[in-house]
Amino acid sequence: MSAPNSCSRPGACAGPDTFARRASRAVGDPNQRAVMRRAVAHLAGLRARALAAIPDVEARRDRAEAVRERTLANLPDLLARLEENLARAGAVVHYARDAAEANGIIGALALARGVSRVVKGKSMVTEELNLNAHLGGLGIEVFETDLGEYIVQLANQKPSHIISPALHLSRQEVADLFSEKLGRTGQTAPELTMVARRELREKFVTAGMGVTGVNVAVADSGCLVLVENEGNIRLSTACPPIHVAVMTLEKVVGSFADLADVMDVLPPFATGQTMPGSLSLFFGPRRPGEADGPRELHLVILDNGRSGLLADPALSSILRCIRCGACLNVCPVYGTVGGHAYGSNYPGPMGTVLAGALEPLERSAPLAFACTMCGACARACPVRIDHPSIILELRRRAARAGRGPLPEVLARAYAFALRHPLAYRAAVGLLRGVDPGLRKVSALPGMEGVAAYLGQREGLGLKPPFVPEGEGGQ
Amino acid sequence: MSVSRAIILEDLRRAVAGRQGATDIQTVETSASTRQQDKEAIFVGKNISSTSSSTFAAPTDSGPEAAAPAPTSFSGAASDLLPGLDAAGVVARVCASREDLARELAGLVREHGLKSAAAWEHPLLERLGAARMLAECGVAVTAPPEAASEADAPGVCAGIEGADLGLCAAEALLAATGTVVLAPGPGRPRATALLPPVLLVLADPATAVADLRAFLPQAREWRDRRDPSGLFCVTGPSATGDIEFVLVRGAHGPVTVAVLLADY
Repeated sequence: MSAPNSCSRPGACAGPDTFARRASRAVGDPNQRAVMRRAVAHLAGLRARALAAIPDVEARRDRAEAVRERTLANLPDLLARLEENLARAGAVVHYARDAAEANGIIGALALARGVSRVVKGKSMVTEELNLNAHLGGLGIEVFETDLGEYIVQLANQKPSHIISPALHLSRQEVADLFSEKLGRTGQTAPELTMVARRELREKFVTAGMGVTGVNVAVADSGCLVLVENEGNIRLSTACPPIHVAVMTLEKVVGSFADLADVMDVLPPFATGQTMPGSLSLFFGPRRPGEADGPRELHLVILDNGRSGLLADPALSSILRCIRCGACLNVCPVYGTVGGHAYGSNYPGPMGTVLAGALEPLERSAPLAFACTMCGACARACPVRIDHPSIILELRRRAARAGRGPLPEVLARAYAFALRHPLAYRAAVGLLRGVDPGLRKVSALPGMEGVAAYLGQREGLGLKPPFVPEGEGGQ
Repeated sequence: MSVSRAIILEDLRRAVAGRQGATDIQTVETSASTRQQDKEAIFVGKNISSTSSSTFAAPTDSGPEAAAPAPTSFSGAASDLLPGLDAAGVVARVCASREDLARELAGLVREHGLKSAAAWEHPLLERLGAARMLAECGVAVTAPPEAASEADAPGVCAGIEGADLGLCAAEALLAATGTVVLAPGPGRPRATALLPPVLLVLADPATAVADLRAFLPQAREWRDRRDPSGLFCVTGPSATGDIEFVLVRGAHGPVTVAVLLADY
């Protein structure tokens, strides 16, 4: 990412790494914007095509929403039943109030068994925990095994999308990265995939522990459900002697019928698939006589603020989220600034909401104010989360806490203008008069900020719609 | 961490009670009565079957066909099998006789230059004599490793890794999506379906059900009856699109998946 001039904007670059600064940098980088625009359009297109082929999309969304709402209404009972059934099958359930506790549990498990190498399936919750750094600090090697996640790990980055972690990197960037870090590379996507496959094979076979997330947990059957295409999750849970699965506590549903309702929407909304390459149901550790599969299965159930969030009626519907990523792919802000600019645990609309609910206000407030309120996320969401309404509430709270985007006096003036049409028109007329002069102003010394502002503005042209064609008229 | 457990569950109980108390919160009141029903359904442990309204063929949809005397096992759900498998990127063939199966196996061995195979122990494989047929084609077939108490999974995986072919048998088939359901167990290592570049699954078309929704009740029953450590629904070869969304078949698992439907 090269951004020669954007850091001249005083507010954006003074002080620590802020959302404004990161977004400014991303917006000033035409290559990054082109890659992002292509990537999200592709993902949104896959979903639109899949949904067009499903005759009962709205009924499926109704059922999925109902399942997730039932979960939220019955969480303590569901977790107790999940725990009971898993324990009966020989799995061990741990509860962690926060990231430190979860990392402590996983680290202690690894150390107690002399584990020196861990293979991981892609999981956003372990990103939230920053688990890799924690295990690294204990002298344990961690290998991400999902191709995209492996790529961002090699690049020493965070995933920029919750289901397609490396979508911000071009093939050439991956080729260069492999060449630098692995000493061998390829040109085409199949060649590069083969390099990663060979590199990781040995890791699967020699690792002492496999760590995965959980897509859905089924309480009635004590079942952990994982969805993937690459086979890396199944390998991470076939060869290593210990499997540690990590989930946030709202991932549980009641029954297999509930699971069917979630699976009716998860693959189509995420990747446009009807079925993922592998849908794995884990009931417990290997049984007597089995030659592989984990000897121990541990489930770490993480709270990290969710129980408080559940008690907050204005925000709690975000806990329905099934992490399909559909809201990211249609968000004009996400598509413009990319996932890394957010700086929160999760990017895009769902990430903005989760950050507002779970992360410090100084980090989350700017994200809430970056939303355009276009509503594409809410329309794309398979469980009908109304992100814009929640984000409005987050803005209210941020403003009350003095974290609004405008100083008090400006905010009052703005509110006044919005209430009085004449004042509004006068102000807009004034600004229109000043605007053409901005280019001259920016030439004056000390006015680099104005130049940076102008640099960010796109020329007039046809803009891509927020929602791909054929999707709007449902 | 039982302290954390108690605290978290207590926090959740309070939050849930708060949600139920506040009636003005969400849109939930519209479904309050159905939710109550569903909650009861969960508590007595039976499946909520409002699901048969799915437009995808539910098991009952094949009722009329099933009622008529089926001339072959390729009726009902099974008739969707071949298109489903094809769409999943699976090489699928129907074998109507022993000779058919032997011919298909020989073709597969030739096409992929297979020299070695890691095989599952499975009643279906036994009945069909699949391992013997492969051996007759010159393939060195290895039986699954014993689960000796000291032999650990990594060693088992390393042993299977060298094989050209993994030979497994499906417990069930999901017709709409061309999915094979594999159940690990004694004599059936998971790695057999993952590490060799070619995965061959033998299946009985009579085990086909319409789709995942139709299969999940079976999964529940499986768990209760056979207490398996897991079940894997596998749709096509392992694949990735993580580099510029180019679909690459053969990510970490098999590059090629072949399914032979033994219809005899």
